[in-house]
Amino acid sequence: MPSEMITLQLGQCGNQIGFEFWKQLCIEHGISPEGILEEFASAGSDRKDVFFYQADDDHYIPRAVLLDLEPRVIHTIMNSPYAKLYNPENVYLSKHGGGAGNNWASGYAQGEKLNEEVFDIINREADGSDNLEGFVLCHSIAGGTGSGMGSYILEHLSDRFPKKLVQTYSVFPNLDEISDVVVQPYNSLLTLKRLTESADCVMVLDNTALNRIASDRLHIQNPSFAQINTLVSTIMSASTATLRYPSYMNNDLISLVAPLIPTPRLHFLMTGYTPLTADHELNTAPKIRKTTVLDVMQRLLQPKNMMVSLSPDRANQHCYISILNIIQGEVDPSQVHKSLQRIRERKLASFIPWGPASIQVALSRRSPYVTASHKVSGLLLANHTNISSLFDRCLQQFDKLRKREAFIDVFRKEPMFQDSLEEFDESRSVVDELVREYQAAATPDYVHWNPVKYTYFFT
Amino acid sequence: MQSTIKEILDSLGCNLEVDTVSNYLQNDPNYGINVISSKQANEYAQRLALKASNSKVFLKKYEELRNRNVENLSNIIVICYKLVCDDKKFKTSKPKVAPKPAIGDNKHQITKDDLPQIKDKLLKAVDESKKLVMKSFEEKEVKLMPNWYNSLDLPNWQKEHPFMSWDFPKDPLPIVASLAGIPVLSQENIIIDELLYVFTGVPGNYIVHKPVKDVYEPRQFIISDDLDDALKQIVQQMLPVASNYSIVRRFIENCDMWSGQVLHALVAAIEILLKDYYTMIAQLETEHMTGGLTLQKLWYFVLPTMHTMQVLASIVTNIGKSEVRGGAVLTVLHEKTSTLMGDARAQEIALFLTERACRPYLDILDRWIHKGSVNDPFHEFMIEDNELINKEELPLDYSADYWEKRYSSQRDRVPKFLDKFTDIILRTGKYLNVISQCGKSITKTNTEEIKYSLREQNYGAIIQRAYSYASKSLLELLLKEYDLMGRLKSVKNYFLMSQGDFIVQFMDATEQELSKKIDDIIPSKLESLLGLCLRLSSARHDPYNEDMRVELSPYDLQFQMFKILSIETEEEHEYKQNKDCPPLTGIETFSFGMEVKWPVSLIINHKAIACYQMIFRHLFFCKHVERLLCRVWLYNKVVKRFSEARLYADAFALRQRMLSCVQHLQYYMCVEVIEPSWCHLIQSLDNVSIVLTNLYI
Repeated sequence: MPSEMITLQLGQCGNQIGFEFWKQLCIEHGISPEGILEEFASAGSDRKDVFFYQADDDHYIPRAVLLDLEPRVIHTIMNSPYAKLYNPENVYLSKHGGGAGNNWASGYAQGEKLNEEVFDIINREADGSDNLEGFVLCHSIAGGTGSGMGSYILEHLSDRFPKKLVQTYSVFPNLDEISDVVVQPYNSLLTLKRLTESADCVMVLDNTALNRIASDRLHIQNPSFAQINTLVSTIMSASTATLRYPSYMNNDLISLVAPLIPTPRLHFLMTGYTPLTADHELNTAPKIRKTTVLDVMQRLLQPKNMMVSLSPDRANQHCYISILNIIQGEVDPSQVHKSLQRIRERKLASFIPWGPASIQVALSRRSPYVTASHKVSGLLLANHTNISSLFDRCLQQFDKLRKREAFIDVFRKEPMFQDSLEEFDESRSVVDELVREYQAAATPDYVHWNPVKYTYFFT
Repeated sequence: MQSTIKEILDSLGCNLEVDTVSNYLQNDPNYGINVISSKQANEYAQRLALKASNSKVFLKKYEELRNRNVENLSNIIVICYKLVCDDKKFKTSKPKVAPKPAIGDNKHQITKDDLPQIKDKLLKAVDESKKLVMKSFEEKEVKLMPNWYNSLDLPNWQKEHPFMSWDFPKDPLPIVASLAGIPVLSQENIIIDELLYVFTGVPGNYIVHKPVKDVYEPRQFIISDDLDDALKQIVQQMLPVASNYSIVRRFIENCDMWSGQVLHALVAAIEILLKDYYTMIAQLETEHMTGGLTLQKLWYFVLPTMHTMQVLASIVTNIGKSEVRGGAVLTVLHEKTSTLMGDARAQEIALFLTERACRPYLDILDRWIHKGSVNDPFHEFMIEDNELINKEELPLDYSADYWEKRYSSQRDRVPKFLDKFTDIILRTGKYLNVISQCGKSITKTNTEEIKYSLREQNYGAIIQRAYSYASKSLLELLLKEYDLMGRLKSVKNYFLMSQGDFIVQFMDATEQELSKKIDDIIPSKLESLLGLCLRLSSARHDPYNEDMRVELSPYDLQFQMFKILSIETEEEHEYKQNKDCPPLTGIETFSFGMEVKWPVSLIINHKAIACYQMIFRHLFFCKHVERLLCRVWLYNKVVKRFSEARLYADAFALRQRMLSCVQHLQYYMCVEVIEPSWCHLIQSLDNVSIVLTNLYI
């Protein structure tokens, strides 16, 4: 099978997201929690083999690798009805089970230690596929395991599989509330460096925005992890819909990702999804509104539907680098055409001056086994220069801690920081440069850059 | 046509050659189109007559030809007029006829020794060509005659026994008896007796016929000079009845076995009318025996019959002179009937004749549109069954050819009143024929008799009904038993690339092979890779994946398109001359092929597949370009670790624009063009009845 994807789930957050994702895929493909194809789904023309493979007894096994340094989440998964779904060999729990203690350096060091065992699993999975297209990594950048161990794996994935695509679903911490993880700014920044340099495509999932969406759009007062993760799994399944339900175009991940990311560094993508419905709403008073293509496409461009919360930046004229809309459901192509025209007329989206200024659209089928409450739903994948404001905030928070040299001791314990804290400064400069590049991308001069002018321009 | 021209030129007495005129005629852009009204043509003929050596002869000839309804007569007249009058002007624009190759061209190379050899060769060649000509002639004969013709040995009664004819005998008889000295009253009695004979085609003692040169020439009579002048006048008035009767009779007797069913039916109808005529004559005779008939009375009785006979004779002359048979007879009858609108009695007769004459033809039609078979021993029907191939010997790729060739409509056999239904009729029968070829029985739904009427609602409706029934049942057959939808879907999946994962997989697998030069590609390898991909991708659920083939065409798509759309402009010329481009790679020449079995091959025929292939090649190449650009992207991604990454931004932006262009192009073609057309097709397939017409085109 061509274009298989291997999913790596790291840490508490990564495994929770992954769990929801696989749950969603199983429902959409008509696969039971035990991995057996339901009878009603036997004649499907969908492609399960992108994410699953079949065991000797024909039951479906996800191409997933579950990694964690502490047993809690993985135990919950293994006690759920979906326990039999996964290949037990692909579930890796650190032996001492102590976790990374929310410390990036600890996670990174343990990753290094467990390097061989982890890559044994990954290599085995990679060998088991005919034509591997790439990896999907689910993790959060704030904790210890997901960020630290994730960073280590990212660095080595791109070394070992230089021609494969590495896509991550990275959860950014909620910056509105004070986190119980005090070293979160350190962790985030160190991970961001690896995401910049080693990942090919990062789906930014901002906890701030996810919480906001849950409370504003879905009217949930205190959204639980599971509810937030459902949002994430919706996005993950929608963004892979064209791979799993093949049609004329966009049948491999690269054809989705390549047009979105013109220059290799600017690969942080925002997502948006509409319409959203929460479980509790469906049960009580379903508020189903009429959805049209135009309606969906317009809503997707509204910041409040974006899964990333961006602070408005007055200084720079931020704009879209690229937009891809994946529209699912009963869609008449002429409507798409009209909607695109309408959006262009009303100038709802402004684009970079140096590239093709158009919204790309991919039409996809829906799973026949899931009854959707809406006729049309849409997912937006966008590359926007204002995402730099998110990184800017990370930088600011990092600087606050760094100035006071707060909580540095935890890091000093690990071998990487024993001698010097150079890694901090290096990471800071990489992220800083990324922010500047994003800002520069909004200007027409971006493509005619020369280093001399560049320094002048920003000082 | 050649003969017509010859006749005209002969009567004109000018020195033009037949070939020249026909050459001009064929080059005339108006040829075959009736742009010239008959009035204009008459004028031309009048003017032409002035130039003719003997204008009377020419005009007579013209009149005669016109009565025969000769095709393109007006065109010929106009051309002749132009040729004769504007001789100079025309000579300059004379079409160039290639000079015949001179035989003695290389005479000096032939020595005397060769001569016997050449002679032998020539003789042989002449012999062969003679045989060929004979053979083709015989074949033609055989084709025209039914098989049982040879087994019948019919005596030619009319030649051997001229007196068996119901017409006047061929040779004139002299007036033997004399009326001189007989009183007028007795003369009247005798002449009534005489007339009653003459009316039935028997020459009398005092009134005798003149011989006729032509079958349809009105007959003249000689009346004894001794007859009283007053009586003679009345007799003269009544004689046209006999004359017309004679024409009708001659027409009837002129019809032989091979004239066809339509003429036979017409003749039978005329015979019915004639029977009444004879009855009337018999009644008159009885009246005469009882002594109650005077010449005035006879005139009174004969008057209405005279009109009938007149009408009959004119119809018959029309048909006879235009030498038509089969469907064309009906055209003449139909036209005649419509022109007789003002004369109720005459129209009634014409209608009766037309209706009767139509019967055998409409019977064949009925069989054709309800059973799908042609039973037409005399080649009269508008549909010609060429019977090229039988079902048993159907070759595999036999499809569209059969559909096109087996049955064809013959324009000249279509009666005018069925003209606008020709296509529908042809297709109705063809559809039914296909159904029966598939081994299905056709349950005839129609019990209504097709009848001729001046207003065409009756048969129009029946034909439409039969057509919709035929197309509906064929489509249902195709859809249900032969799974046309499944076929179309698999066409869409492969040729229109709607099954994207299969295409991606196939391209992955064959990339190496297809990037080679066309001569280095091993088709069998591609073939096996295709099979592999079909079995492994989601295409394995498709029941028709076995029928997919690999095809490599020797030219690229652009060249092919130019061939098809050749408009021969200057710009186009440049493309064509660019022949010395590098040899094609596999990507440029590759396309899928598909084997389609009868009867689905009627719809998805070679032509349709060729069209799909062209679309496919274009889409395939776009996809290929997209993949190449994506690969560049993949190679570019290492750059992000370089500190000077932004130096490449310009190049990246360019790649981005190219990729975006290709993807948008593909999106446009697939989502905005192919998909809506597909939906349209599916919708119309649901709406079964009209659809075969669409698919057929």
